Amino acid sequence: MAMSETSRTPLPHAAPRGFLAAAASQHGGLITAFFLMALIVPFLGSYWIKNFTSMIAVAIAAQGVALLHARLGFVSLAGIAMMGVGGWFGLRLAHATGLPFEIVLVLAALCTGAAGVLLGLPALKHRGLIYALITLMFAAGFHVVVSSIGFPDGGSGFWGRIDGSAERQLMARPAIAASDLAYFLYALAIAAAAFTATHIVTKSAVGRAWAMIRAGDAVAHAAGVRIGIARAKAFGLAGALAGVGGCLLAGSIGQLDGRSFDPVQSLLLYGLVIIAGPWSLAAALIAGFLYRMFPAILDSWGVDGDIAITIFGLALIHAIVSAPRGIAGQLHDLTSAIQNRLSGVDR
Amino acid sequence: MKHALPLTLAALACGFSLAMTPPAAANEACGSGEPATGEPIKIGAIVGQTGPADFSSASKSAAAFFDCVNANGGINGRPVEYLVEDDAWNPETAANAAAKLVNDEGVVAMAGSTSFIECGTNARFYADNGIGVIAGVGVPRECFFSSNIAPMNMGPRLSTLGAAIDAYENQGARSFVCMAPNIPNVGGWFCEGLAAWGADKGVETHNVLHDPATLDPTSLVLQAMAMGADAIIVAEPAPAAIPIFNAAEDQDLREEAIWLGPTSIYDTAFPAAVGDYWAGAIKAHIEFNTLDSDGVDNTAWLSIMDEYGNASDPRDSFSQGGYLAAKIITGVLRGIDGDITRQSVLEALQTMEAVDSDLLCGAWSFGPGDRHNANQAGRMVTMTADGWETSRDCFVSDDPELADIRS
Repeated sequence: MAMSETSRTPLPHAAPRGFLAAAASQHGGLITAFFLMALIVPFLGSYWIKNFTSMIAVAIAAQGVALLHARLGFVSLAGIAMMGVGGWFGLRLAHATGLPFEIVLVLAALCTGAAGVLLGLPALKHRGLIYALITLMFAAGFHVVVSSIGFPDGGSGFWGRIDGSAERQLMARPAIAASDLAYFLYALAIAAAAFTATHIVTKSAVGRAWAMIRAGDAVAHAAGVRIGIARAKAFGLAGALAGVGGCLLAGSIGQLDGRSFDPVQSLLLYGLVIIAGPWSLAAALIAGFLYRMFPAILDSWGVDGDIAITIFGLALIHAIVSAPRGIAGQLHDLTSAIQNRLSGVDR
Repeated sequence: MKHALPLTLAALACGFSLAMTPPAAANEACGSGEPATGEPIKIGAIVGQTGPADFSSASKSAAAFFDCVNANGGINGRPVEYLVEDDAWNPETAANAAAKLVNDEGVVAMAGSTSFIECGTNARFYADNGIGVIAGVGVPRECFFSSNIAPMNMGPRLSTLGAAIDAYENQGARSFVCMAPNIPNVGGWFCEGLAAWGADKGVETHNVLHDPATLDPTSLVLQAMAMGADAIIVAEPAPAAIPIFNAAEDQDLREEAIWLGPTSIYDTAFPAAVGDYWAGAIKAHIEFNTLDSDGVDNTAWLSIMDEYGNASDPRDSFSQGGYLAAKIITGVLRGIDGDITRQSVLEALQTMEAVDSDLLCGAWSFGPGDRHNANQAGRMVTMTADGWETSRDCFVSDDPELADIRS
């Protein structure tokens, strides 16, 4: 299946040119997408603004899933569950400390990053299917636990739950982004920062170490990479991204519910990351779009949003069989073809 | 194509003849006059349709009532456009739905909402935006503790308590197990009501709270029985209560405890679903009048459902609640002089005169306060082999938490 394929799939084109030029040409589409969202979404109305905010939150978490898959060849089937962990930390810290949203966001990212490293520990011994199953078990376990203990809502005690007759508290939004629209733009800016950070890390020495590990542990050893530490960094970064996503989602709604974090959602997110093409930074945004917006768009057309799952299944088969670099890869090929055609005309 | 005209004429004639002879009760309840035209007045509702259980019957009866209103004069000639959104029992979806209805659609009020989670998510949003909400059925605490939400029903806390009060007074029950879903401010809040009421009566109460998504009826029943209480209150939606009673039947536990439920199990399909084994052994507290009662509103509700609803729409207590919510908001809207806006509707709701109905035990009004729980009294029914019979008429659920409203 895909997991065994991943270790054999060749790394897509490395950046041959200067860093900035490479980033701009590689991610031109992504940058355009961010600008387009900032320009268009404000005019779509409250419902779509809220949906786009959720989509951005999911996209940040999806970036972590794509990172683990594309850079290290690890299948994480706990993407949405890790978002839930981030949301839990965010809500707990916000209610317990009353600190500004930004600080809560950073702390939640750190805590979830630590949780990500812990979830990555089995990866020291296991790869492929076994590790994927471990993450799926984690996602299922998280759902059971969080459904039972619930997300913090301003109560006292370790779990922070209101019991019985008290007012449930909503998580405060950042002072500069209280309205839905401002919060969407705020989330978009955070996402841009998170994507940039991911890009910088993957192009750094750490990213090169990951590439070695992906090629094989023996190769990495031979190159002097400390495999355990390099992997821990990847799991930590993926966890932190999920933490940021979860915290942004909690801030958007003010509270969270276990129902949003069942293991099927995590499985779905992984499938969508594969469809989107995890080797590209844009994949996370595409996966977030498919995850959150596609069902909403179907719903708004009067089609049952659940049918999206069926469509995703077909798309996954297509991605595995005929488009291994996913939607992002196809878009990239398309823009390259257009550029080539244009430069050909110029000549 | 050449048969289209006669067919259309036949359909029109048929439609006219149906429209000319509506049941008198339906007409009286929703008004009189020509079919409404002009700019619609938008009213919204958020219901938990998809998810652990379909909890949307109040919006269906409200939709039927508004159709009837639109066919009979509308709101002083203007039709009601009733917009219903599904929250899928998910706070995120509920928040998005409220944003869509209030910000994008511009509804002037909400009526007939029923959800386990929606009030908790949106109560503050409604207050911030000045939207008045008559919930068809309020479930979580926030439905009863918000300035802008007034539910038609008593609420599961009072209904659960009502069942306990009846068993305490008439069957000598002195200890209770309260079984409920652990949704925030839902299950814990109902069950806490029992403890608050029982505190000075020497009544012992235990809670069995569980995740609604992972219902394991046998273990719940065994857990409840292990507590050795006189009575077990199954405070669950009917689709969850049925497997719990089936599991109790498998263990032959009918005689081991007094079995009780709140309004949610009062459903005409329930006796057949749990079977003859339970005939005479299950008592339910009901927040509205019996479904076959012969008062004006109950008769009108049934005839409106027959004429304007779908045959598949449930005829249950929650449907009665949706009917009343729609009827009351219609009366309030018709009484507004001048523009119908969020603000004028909210003011009219807060200052409305109390309305009597045979579906309720006492008069109902929205009220001006910071919280609303006008409906506080209900009845008891006992399940028979093929239905339910009334075993106790109106009595108040004496919850200490209502002290502020009563005073």
